[in-house]
Order: sequence, then structure tokens, then C-alpha cells
Amino acid sequence: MPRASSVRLLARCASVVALALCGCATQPTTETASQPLRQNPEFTYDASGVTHATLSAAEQQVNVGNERYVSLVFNGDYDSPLIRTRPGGTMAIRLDNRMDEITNLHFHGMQVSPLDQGDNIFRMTQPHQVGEYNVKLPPEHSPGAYWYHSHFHGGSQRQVSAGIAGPILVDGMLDPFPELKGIKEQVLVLRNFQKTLTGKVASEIITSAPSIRTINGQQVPIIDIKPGETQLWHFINIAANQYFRIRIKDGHSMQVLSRDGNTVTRRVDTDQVLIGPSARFSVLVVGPPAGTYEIEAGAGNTGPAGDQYPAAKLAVLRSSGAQVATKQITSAYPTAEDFSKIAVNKTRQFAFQDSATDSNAFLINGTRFELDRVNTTVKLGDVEEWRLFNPSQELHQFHIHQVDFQVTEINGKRVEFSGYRDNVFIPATGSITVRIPFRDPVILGKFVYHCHILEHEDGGMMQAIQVVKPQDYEQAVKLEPLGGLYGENNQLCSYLRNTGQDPKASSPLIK
Amino acid sequence: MYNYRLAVLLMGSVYALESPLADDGQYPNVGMDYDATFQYDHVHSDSPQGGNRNSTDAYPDINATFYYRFSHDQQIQFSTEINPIDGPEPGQKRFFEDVGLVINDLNYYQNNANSAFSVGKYHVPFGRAQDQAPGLYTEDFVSTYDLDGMLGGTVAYRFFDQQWGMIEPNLSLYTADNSFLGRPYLRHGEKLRRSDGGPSNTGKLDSYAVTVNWLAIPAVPYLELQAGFMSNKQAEDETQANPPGEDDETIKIASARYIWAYEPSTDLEPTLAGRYFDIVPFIEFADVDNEDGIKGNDTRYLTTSLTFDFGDWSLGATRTDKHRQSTAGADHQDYLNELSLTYNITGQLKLGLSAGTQKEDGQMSELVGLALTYSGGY
Repeated sequence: MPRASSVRLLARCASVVALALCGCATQPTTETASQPLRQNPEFTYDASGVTHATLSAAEQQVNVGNERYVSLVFNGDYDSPLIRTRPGGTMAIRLDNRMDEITNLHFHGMQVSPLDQGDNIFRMTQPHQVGEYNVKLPPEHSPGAYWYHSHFHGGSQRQVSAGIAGPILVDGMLDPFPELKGIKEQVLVLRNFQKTLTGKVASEIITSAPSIRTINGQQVPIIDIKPGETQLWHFINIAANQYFRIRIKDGHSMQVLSRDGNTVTRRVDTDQVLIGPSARFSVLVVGPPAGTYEIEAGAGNTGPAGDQYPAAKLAVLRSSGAQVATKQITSAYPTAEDFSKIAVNKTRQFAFQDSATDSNAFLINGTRFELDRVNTTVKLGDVEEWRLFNPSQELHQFHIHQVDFQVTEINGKRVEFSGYRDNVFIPATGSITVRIPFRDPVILGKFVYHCHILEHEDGGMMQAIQVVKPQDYEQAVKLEPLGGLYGENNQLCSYLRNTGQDPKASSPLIK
Repeated sequence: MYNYRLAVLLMGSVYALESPLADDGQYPNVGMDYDATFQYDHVHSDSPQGGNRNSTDAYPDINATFYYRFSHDQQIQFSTEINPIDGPEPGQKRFFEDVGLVINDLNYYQNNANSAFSVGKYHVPFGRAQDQAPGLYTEDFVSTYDLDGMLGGTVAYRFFDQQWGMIEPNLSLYTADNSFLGRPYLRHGEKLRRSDGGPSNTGKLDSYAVTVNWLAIPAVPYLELQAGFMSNKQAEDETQANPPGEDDETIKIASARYIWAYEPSTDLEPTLAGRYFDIVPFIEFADVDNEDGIKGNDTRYLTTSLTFDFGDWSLGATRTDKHRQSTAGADHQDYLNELSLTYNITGQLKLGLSAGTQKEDGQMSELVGLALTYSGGY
């Protein structure tokens, strides 16, 4: 090949690489300077405890941080509405799907019924149809931070990344601590949006690609606080795949009050919070001396076979005004049962592994998720120990629907009890042991456990579990290959039919 | 034609066994993955006749895979590679020369709950040194059993047991591609012809490979084992009046890989902060009878490597020995030593450096290479 054409070819290749390296669209900037943190649009509950909300999912142009993108969002805003509820309350949600694709909703971390119109991820809302959800919280439901998001298998990564996700707050977290009454609460919704050249949400999500990280849809918002003031911040990670490693620079510590909607059982102080995909941390922050302080998300590396993303400035903490008295916890922390001290009913183990032959496939015990079969059957009332091991050279993030669990061991070493969680990392080439109480009758039904790095979940790293009354166990196991006792769509009527009961009779589930 | 029927029957059985639920709304759709590498190789060769020669080669290696997805589990995949069609001659200095496009895959691929199969033009899943041994040159050194772009089908089934872990047998039937899909594009190049003969170039599905992967063993979860057997039916070389003695090429293979991670580095904070550290030893042995279909050309390959991963860095050392038992009785020992370093500049951009020594067909060489790779998707 003549040298001149070689040079031209090289120049063309260099242009392509340069464009690819840039990997970002220079969309018109709509706001450049940092703005005070805005509050999320909110649906709250009425006197009877019912929160009525309509979530209209549509593709449209929105502000993502300081840039304009066409994305999939709720109610016309990349900053999705906050749904506020309370223990014993009900969320009556109307999912108005105006997109050209299937979607649905999962109410992440909530101990509610997975059946029928509850937190039922086996039910889909077709394009341009409306789905109705009636999610009833038990009176003893744990207060704290939760979230809702698309759980459409195969499309959840893209939809959640685009914007089909938002925060939920169950009121009452400060009730055990009257000394904190009146402190300011801030909901900080953490998100990651992949930059594209097209100005549209990416069709192929590349976790390591250049991205826009936002809090409540804003890039580097200003969080105001007074010196000495105590605030309660709810960090809610609703990014599809990213871990957030957050610290307030200059060495300010935070006091963890709740993880995944579960109030901790003892004092936990930290100078950084490690928030895995889907995790929530509610922390007490005390206003530092007057000045501005950077809130940073540290660089992320999920292992040799995983993803890498750079550090980013997330927000600015602006401390100003007169010094105020600091409120501190003086009451006793709520107690919780330590499951490491009881005998478990059953022990299981699960291998969360990357496929050796297909980089887009992810497995649990050698299996990719199959919508119409059940993999695990559990008796209501049992407490089980699950050993989760990860032979892959990258992190996985275990999550189970409907129930919280206790982490008892990491890499075989005992973990001191400080409260429950609903998601936890599984170390790259390591293991984690959890104990799960399947005790609350409200969880009777079929749901799933999976890796909450949604790229992995969409790639098949998910399995279905059914919780049944002990007398139905044998029948339920037999029906595992056919979708289980609760049928394909996880319905009470299927349960009644499959157990030979009269569907017209009253619900036997709570007896 | 018996083999074709067998393949269709086999694939059809798997499909019927695990017919996936069709999605609508999001499918069909298209997607693309790509990686673009700029590589520079410098080779210093010592000629057996004395003297030495330096050759340099700067070239692109651009891989693109396009997907047409019918559902979450079913797709047609089409992958191309743009790179030099042939290596440089000793002493040659090249800059983006001899670059052409080849089609590596054009197949229907389906991945079910426990099984996966593909039919069409595909890469035969056999051996691991080409993927797992660190460095830039080992892949070429073991190309005897790294078969790309073959026509046929492959099927795998994953068994899992709580005690034994995952056992995955895989069966591939194939023949060399001497169709228009096998020719290089964007440049003049010779495509394989049926009359050229050679292993598996028979025009029939009469070559096969069987492997068994054993992974995720609960007692030793970070050990990965593979054993396999490959048989490549020899086709007569009709271009030569007196072709050398020919016979079917057979390869027996076994490999083991273990990931040992420094436990404190696997906690969440050190991992995220880029302080995860592991050491990965790998060994693979391949016993080849009648390599290249030449009767009596028996060889043995032994690849051993050690990889150190630390955050964004990876340091690797690989040695591959190739022992050839000559028909004349004199044995030959070829080898490739490689020391490599990879740095992930970002999650999508990585820089690889490699230096090594090689002895091949009695000729000693020193190799130095640099590769800058950008990967992404659309």
C-alpha cells in the first residue's frame, strides 16, 4: 500500500478513535453553574394512609444534569417523583406506559406481598397500556429509604439507566429518636447516565463509558447546611450498575442511621459510604465550620473482569449562617433479632458466575433466568442460611425481593451484627454468607433473587423463589418446572387452583 | 449428508427442550460491540545462516460484532475483523499494509437456561491458552487448535450439582470455510479452496471437537478445568502432484486455571479503590497427532502462565513449549516466552506491552509489542 494512503488510513482511524474516546455529545448546556439541591417532586399519602400516584413513562427530551438528552423518564422529568408512604399505608400506583416497550415496577426492599397487584415483577405492562399497583405495607413495615424501578427482564438495565426508577420514603425513621425531631431530611437520589453521540439514551449500556453522575437529576448541586446543624441524608443509589463510594472531603465523618431501610442496631460511624447498586444509606451529617466542602464519588473498579469508572465531584456542601446546636442520638437503638445465634432450617449455596463462553451471559448455579420456572422453594417460617460464592473476577451484588437478611460472614469470617440489609456485594473470587428469615406471611408468593448489577441480571443472573405454607411444600416443589404453585403470573387464584382450593373462598394465605 | 441431519436434529432437540418465551415491545432490535486496537510489533530475528533481521509492523486490529436480536435469548451475530491478512516477511517494515477484512462469525446463536448453541460460521470453543494466557503473541503460537470461522454448529449444556459444581460438555461439528465468507475483503487475497486440502477442509461436517468444562466447584470454587478432544478430518491437497503423507489431525487437551486472591483486597472498599490483587496460574497441555494433517507430524504444546492482577494493572508471564517429534527421529523444541504488562487507562481504553523471545523452526527471535485498545458498544 502506498505510504500516502497508509497515512490517510491512519488519520481516518485516529479520527474514529478520537471520536470514540470523546464518547460524549456536546449537547446544548441548559445550566452551567451549581444550583441549590432541588427537592424531588413528591406524591404523599392522604389521611387514610393511601398514596395515589400516576407514573407516566415516556420517551422524551429532558435535562440530564446540565445536558439535554432524549431518554425514558417518568412524568416528563429525569428527576423521578418521590413516593412517600408510611407503615400500614398503601401505595396506589397507576403505571401509564406511553413507551413503545414493555415495562413494569418493582418496589425495591419493601416487605410487601409479591402477588397480584402487589410487588409482582412477573406482571408486565404492555406498550401504551396502564398497569395498576396496590401495594399495602404491613403496620410493622420498617421505615426508611426504598425505591421503585423497572424489573422488565432483558430491558431493566437500559430502562433504569434511562430514568424508569425513583425514590420511596417510608416515614417514621426518626420515631425511635425523639431527640432528632425536626432535623432536616434530604433525599439524595444517585444516578449515572451514559453519554452518547446521538443525544439519545444508549441502546447498549457500557458501564465504564463516560457518564453524567447526578443527585436528584442535578450535576454538582449545592447542599446547604448550618454549622453544627444535624441533617439526615438519604442516599439512594438507583443507578443500573454503578457503585458509589461517597465521602465529604476534608475528613468529615457521617453516622449511619439506616441501611436499605433498616435502622442499625448500634452506632456506626464512617468517613465514606460504599453504596452498591440498589443500596440505600441514611446518614446523619453535622454541618462543618462555615465554608464549602466537596462531596466526591471515588473512582470505581469492580475487579479485573469488571468495570472501571473515574472519580467525580458529586455535590458541594455549603456550610453558612450562625452556629446551631448539634442534635445527637441519645436514645437506645432499636433491637433486632441476631439470626447468627439461632439454628437454621436449611442451608443452600449459590454460585454467581460469569459465563466462560459468552460475555453477555451471567449464571447462578450454571443457569440463566427462565421466566416460567421456579428454582427454589422455601417453607414459610423457615430461616435459611445461604452461602453465595463468586468464582468470577468481578463483583456481584446480591439482592432478594420481599425479605431482608443478615450478613453473617464475608469470606468465611464472622461479621458483627448491626442490622439487616436487602442487598450486599459478593467479593470477586470470594464468598458471603447470609441468613434469611422467611417468616412474614405477607411474603407468600413467588419472587426473585438476583445480581443487582442490572447488566448481569438482564444477562440471566437471576432465579425465581416461591415461599409456600409448609403443608403445600411437596406440591410446590413438583410444580417448580411449570412456574410453581403461584402460576406464571404469580396470582392468588393460581395458588388456590394449584392447591385444590375454591378460588371463591377467602384467602388462605394469611391463616 | 448424515452429519448435517445429525446437527439439525441435535440443535432442534435443544431448541424444543428449552424454547424461550418470545418478547415483544423491545425486540427485534440491533446492537454492536467493537474493539479497535492499534498494534506495533518489532521482531529481531537471528538467521540460522548468520546475520539478523529486524522487521516492524504497525497495524490496526478492529473487531466489530453486530447483533440482530429476535428476543432476549436469540440472535444472529455477525462479526468482522480488520487487520493484516498475513504477517510480515522477515526484515520487512510495514505501516498499515496488507490490511483486509475477514468475517469471523455469521451465525444464529441461542442461549437458554441451561444450554447454548450456534449454527453457521463460528469459533470452535476448544482450548483456553489463546484467551487466558497473558501477552500479545501466545494466541498465534497455539493457533493449531484455535479454530476461527468454521462452518457448522456447536452446542453446550450446563449441568449443576451442589457438590460437584458446574459441568459443561460442549460438542462442535464443523468444516473449514472455503465459501465466499472465507475470503478476505478490502484487499486482494486468496481464499481457501477445496482443492487446497488440509485439516477439516473436506466440505463435509466430519470434523468435530468435544470439550468438558468443570467450573464453580464448591470445594475449590476458583479452580477451572477443561479437557477436550478434537478430530480434524484431512482433505487431500490436490494442488500438489506428490502431497506429503496425510492423515487426520487429532488433538487431546487439558487445562487448569486457578484464581488466588489476596483475601483482604477482596473486601468492597479495596476492590472499588483499585487495590484488588490476585495471582492466576494457568497450565494447558495439548497433544497433537498429525499436525496440519501431515502424517507423523506429532507435536505437544505446553503453555504455562502466571498473571498478577492489581487494580488497573496486570502483569503476566507466559511460556509455551512446542515439542515436535520429527519423522527422521530428531526432535525439535520450539518455544515462546512472553512478559507482558497491561494498564487500564479507563474502563474502555487499555495499553498492553509485551516483550519476549521465540524459537520457531530453529529460528530465534526477540519480540517487542505495544497495543492500544479501545472497546465499546452501540
